[in-house]
Amino acid sequence: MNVAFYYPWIWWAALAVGVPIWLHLVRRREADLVLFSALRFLDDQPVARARPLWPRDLPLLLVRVLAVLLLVAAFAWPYLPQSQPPPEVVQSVVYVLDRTLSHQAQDGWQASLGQLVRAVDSLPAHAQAGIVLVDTVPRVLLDLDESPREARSRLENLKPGFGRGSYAAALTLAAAMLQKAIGEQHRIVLFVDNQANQWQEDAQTIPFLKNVSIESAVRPTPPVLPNVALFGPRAERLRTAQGSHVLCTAQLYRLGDVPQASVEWRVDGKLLKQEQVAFTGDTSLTLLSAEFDLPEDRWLTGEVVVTASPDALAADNRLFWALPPQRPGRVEAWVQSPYLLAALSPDVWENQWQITVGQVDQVASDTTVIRPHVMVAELGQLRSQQLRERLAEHISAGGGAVLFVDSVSGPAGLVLHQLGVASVTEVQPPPDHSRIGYRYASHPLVQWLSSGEWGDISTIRVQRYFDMDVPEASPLVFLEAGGAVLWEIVRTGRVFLMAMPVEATSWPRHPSWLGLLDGCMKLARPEETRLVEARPGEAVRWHLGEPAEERPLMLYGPDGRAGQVAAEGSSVMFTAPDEPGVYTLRHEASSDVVGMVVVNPVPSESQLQYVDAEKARAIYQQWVVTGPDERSPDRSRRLEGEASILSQRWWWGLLVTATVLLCVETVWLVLRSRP
Amino acid sequence: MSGLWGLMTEEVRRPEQPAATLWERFDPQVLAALGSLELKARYLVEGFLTGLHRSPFHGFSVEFSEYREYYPGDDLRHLDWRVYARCDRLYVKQYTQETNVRFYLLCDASGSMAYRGRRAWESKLEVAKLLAAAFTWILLRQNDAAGMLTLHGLEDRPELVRPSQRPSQLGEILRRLARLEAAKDVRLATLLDYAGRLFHRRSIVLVFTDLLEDCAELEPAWKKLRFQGHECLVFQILDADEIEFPFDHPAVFEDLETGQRRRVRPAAVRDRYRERFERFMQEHRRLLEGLEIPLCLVRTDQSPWQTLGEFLSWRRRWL
Repeated sequence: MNVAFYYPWIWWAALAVGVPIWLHLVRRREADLVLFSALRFLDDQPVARARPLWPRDLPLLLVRVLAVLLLVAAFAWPYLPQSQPPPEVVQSVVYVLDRTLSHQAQDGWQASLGQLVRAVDSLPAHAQAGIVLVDTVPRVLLDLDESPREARSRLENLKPGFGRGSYAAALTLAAAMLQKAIGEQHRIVLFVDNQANQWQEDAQTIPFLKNVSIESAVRPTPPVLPNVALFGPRAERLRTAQGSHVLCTAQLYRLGDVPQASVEWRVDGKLLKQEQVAFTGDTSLTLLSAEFDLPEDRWLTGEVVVTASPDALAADNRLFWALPPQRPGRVEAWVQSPYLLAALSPDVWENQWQITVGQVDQVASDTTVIRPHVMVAELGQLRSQQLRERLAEHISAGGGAVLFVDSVSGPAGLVLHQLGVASVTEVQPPPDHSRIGYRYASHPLVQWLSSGEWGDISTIRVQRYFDMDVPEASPLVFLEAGGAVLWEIVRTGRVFLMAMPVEATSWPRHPSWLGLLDGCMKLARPEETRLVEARPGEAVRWHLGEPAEERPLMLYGPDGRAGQVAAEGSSVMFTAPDEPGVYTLRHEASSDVVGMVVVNPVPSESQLQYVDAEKARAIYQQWVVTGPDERSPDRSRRLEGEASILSQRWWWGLLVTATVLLCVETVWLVLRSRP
Repeated sequence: MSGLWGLMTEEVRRPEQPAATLWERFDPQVLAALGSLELKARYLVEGFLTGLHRSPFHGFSVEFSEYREYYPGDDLRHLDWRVYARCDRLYVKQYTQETNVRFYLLCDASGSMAYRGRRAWESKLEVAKLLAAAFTWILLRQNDAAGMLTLHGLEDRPELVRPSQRPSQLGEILRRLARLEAAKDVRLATLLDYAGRLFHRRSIVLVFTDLLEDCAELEPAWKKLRFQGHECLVFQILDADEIEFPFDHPAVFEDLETGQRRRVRPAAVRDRYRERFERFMQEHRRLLEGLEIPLCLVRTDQSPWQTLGEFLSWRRRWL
């Protein structure tokens, strides 16, 4: 057996065996030496040599010498050189396979998979191959130092993905792999669907691929494929004069020539509603909504399913939602207006809000033990300093408030000052501009009020309002005259400020009045997150609000356990499952639901618009940069040598044996030093 | 209670503590824990004096020193009646004795003095330095003049501290003692020879040595010192290993002064060693007795308080 050493010069370190030999020749002898003061009385005894000629403790010396030699041998990196030089690796190829949702369109996934398997099989014998997946986070399916024969089995076990990933990120990973490749040529072969929005979002990326040739194995596709998809699910419990019910909404997306679609609404697996949607003209987005009378005291899970023909991508036709059980919020009201007293009557908000209307003249004796979630007050009623302090404490502790400005002088002025209102002026808008005219459309409260369920809020008139300057607040609703009448102040807690007396507006007589109060109270209520929406494969960090229990938390799907959850204090971290659906977060061996995770596809994956191969090439060729090859001539040989050395088990054996010998030596000495 | 504080406070509460137990209460660990030579000397002297209960250094002669409480048996002549009239308590007046005796301390720093046996609380040289420091302390407190002569290995000239009664003398001697280290080429005979040449006026010479040198080499130097009228007192510091030779296992013994090595089986040579050692010491004792030089044996495995006691009783007799 002809052994060679990768670093033969390390054998110079074998001179270190001189240290244990010296120790055994000199140091051990010193231990038996007695320095004595009265040797004159022993001068008849035989003279001893200054240094012994033979080392003592031969077994221990052998252990030490052997340990040193084995360590040196290990670090000299021995290997068995092959009789024939290793074949030159001609090329290193990294295949980039698109595993995003859009690639399932028109069986594109299966086609690319087969194509890739054939490509790997047809690789020349001395080529390296790796596979990178375009996923939510790009990942390596096959590394370059693994055998290409592994690729087939891994690809066959690979399921189509539902996430969205970046081409540039996947190419970055492929380029990093090629940095370590030993082939003379570096290639990247793309098996992607050339989705337009995916190329466009990375088009401005600076060049990052050095000396790499890119090829595309994309089969030709038409520029647009017909598709219907659902996204933007929303489910909310609503309170109207008729009672409480669940409002579900979703956006129906249509692309291409699709005449109509059939929509099914299912809740807890039961079909509750079925409807036909006919698309007209250029309509690409349709708001779907459905109202159901459903129980308030338990979790609700539902799905919306759309079927249409033609439809190139069926995987985006299901949308999932979940709704936590209704937990009544506690409201403390300090109001006198008949409109507000009527609207805040406990009968109206049964099971939704527990409302306590306080008496201003009994503040001292009214010590509410349980802190309310939301305080509703007319500023004119906050005459008592105790009440004002309670409001300030409530907001600074994270509680919410809905305040109606009916006065700006005296105690009301103090409250406004505490809320950061810089100046206030009472304004009477001209009658022809006294209606609500503008809204802060992206705010959830305004979105809700503008959904059409509550009638047209632009018919609401305001006779008198307070024009305020609040630097830290966001105005939400404006009059036609321009003045803001509804403000939102976000501090530790959230405050909605209605800048007009209730009697000076027609809002209390409008159908949206209860919805306004409900919406404000819901948004002002401190968050109690029990539901998380995530993308497939997304890393989620979720603050539960209370420290996680000792028992491990698990994520359960319809088919059982779906993932591990790592707890850190009151937060949990996990990776959302790949497949869309509703998943339950529970403690192991417990049926109590801690929270739910709703995973839905990413809407942009449903836009089945493609760029042709030439346009895609123009984009990715911008990322390629050429320059002098900084690789050393023997780099490939060196890397191959390192790889082969590290894979030799007996090389590791040298290190382990040396370590064991050192441990034996230590134990030996300890045992011997004991009296 | 243990340690220095315990030693002192306990003694104050029980002044009639038998002297025999006092020696047993010497704690080498406390001594080792004390950093400087000054602290060690102070521990040694004050612990000893506290144990004796009555200071031997206060007489009733000329110079008033301090008051102390009256104990039954004290001479009533020294009671201060004025204090009694004022405070209704009995106090005795104490006076400091005045002397003009000059003491020289000679500390042997030969290589054999570095030996420290397994039972010893310190090496012979360290014990010698500690005793020298303690004696200096005592001598200066009773107004005697203390000086010192030492010989360092690599220096040809001896190091002499001329006798003085100044309080700063203690610091000077302690500094020199702290620097003193055993050296192979230092001989006691040379040190004594220097002493004979450098000490002109009659003095008391305290010699701290192990006397592990040939008697014939030392004899002229001892005689010269005595003929010059100096009083000598030899503290022979020996380790228990040197006296008893208690070694068990065969080993190579190396001489601390010559570096010579001999292979020794202790069990076989123990009796012969003791016999030769005793004969050697007998020669020294005979020589010193003939010159009327008292010899005080100090073992490094025993309390040095005994040595202090013997010195003080000798000092009293001599005065």
